[in-house]
Amino acid sequence: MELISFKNVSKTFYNLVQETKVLDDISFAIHDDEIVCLLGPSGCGKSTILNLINELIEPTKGNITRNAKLGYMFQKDCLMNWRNIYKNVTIGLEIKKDKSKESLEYVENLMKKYQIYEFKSFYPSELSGGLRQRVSLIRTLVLQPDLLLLDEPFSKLDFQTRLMVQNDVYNIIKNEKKSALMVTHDIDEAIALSSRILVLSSRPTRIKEEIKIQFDSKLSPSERRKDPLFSYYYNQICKALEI
Amino acid sequence: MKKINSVKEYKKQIKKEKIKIHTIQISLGILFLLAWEILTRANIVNSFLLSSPLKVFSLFVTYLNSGEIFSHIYISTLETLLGLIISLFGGILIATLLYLSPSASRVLDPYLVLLNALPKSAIAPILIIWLGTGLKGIVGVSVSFVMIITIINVLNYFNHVDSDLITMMKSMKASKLQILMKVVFPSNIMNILSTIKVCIGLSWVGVIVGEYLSSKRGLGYLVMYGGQVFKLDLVMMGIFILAILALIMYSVIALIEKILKKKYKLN
Repeated sequence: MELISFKNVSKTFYNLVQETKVLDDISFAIHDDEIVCLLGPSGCGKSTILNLINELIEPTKGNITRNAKLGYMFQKDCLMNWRNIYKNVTIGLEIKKDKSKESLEYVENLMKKYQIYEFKSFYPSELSGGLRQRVSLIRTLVLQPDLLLLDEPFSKLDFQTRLMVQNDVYNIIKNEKKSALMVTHDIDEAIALSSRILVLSSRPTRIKEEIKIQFDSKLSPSERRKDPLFSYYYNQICKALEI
Repeated sequence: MKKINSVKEYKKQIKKEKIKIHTIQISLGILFLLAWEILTRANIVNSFLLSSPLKVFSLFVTYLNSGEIFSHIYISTLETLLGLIISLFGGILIATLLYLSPSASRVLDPYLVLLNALPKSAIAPILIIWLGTGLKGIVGVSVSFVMIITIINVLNYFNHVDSDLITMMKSMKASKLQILMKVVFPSNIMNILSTIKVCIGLSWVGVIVGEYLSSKRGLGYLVMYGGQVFKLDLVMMGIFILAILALIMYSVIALIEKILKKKYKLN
């Protein structure tokens, strides 16, 4: 099933001085149970694509169809430091005014499953960066989305934490059988996590190439990095990016 | 510098440092009063113009014994607190409305700037005429001093809330009201407290100006009266009491800040 599809989408921004064509005729679709990565140089309109999906902006041309409940995970963990972990995780339910027993049980199970339940009365400032990012993902999962939008979710973490959190996020996404659309400029990260990579050009952005990533399904992101196939994909992407 | 080898030693060091600072602070105050007293007694400075700490204190004791001082402190404190509370509620309410309506905020911006730049003491006489010479007029003057700056400060804080947090809330389909109640207000508690700290001083200024213009009671009245009859002991006593009252109010807010910081484990 297509969760999201873009058909010939273009987006132009206008301001007083100029018009900027950011997206030029973009078409792609995301299906069940896959992690798709949008890979491209900074400023190439990756965030614009996410904002279009999330209906924060409208396309200038083309069509976007959505058949999925969306969940957003950001570069920053966006935890509110005046709420404890439990209250941060349940903010989505609070917004929906959902106090049902099932939802609360679902939250509790999620928190227990991914080992943040023991921190439920802690405040964000007491948690490490990696753990905060996990809390941020669980907060998104509480609303039971079908498709997760990940906006450079690891770029604010130091390298070691990043490897750990990548494993973490990958496992959680696979475990919960979610799909994800990840935006990044990090080639390693794209190969380590995704099942399909869309390589983007610089502005005005087009899809240059689509690369299927096929590792043994049991491999974790950090194990993928050690697999011989990794450098093969790396070279292929570099060629597509003309580096 | 001594090397620190354990948490205990570190804590000890911090405590030592704290005691040192406090000792110096207190001795500085005492030294100042002592020098003042000695210089006036030795007639090096004019004790008529400057009064002296002991004279001020003995006057204070007189006022204390007669009980008169309490009515002055009571009325001025009441006016200041009323002015502060009205300004804060009004200011935060108006700032909220302006935050919710950016176009209104843009329209009113030059007027806010104008009102803020205006020397408030210039409109105090009009306020007294409009609102009467009693409590209402003086509280009105105080509000005129505090309200505008509260609106400007709070609106500025509201407009600088972390935009990622707001995007996060929007992605969860939060309404404008929910964003306001769950992000904008709570993320600015600390900022609002520091605004209150500034406003305490301003509210006192407003009350004193109001009392100068027309009053029969209050610390501003005491200072004004003392000045008119050249009783500088009285002026100095009024100023001392004002300083202490302002300090107490300030400390209460500082204490609340400390408690909140501890609660949210900040720093």
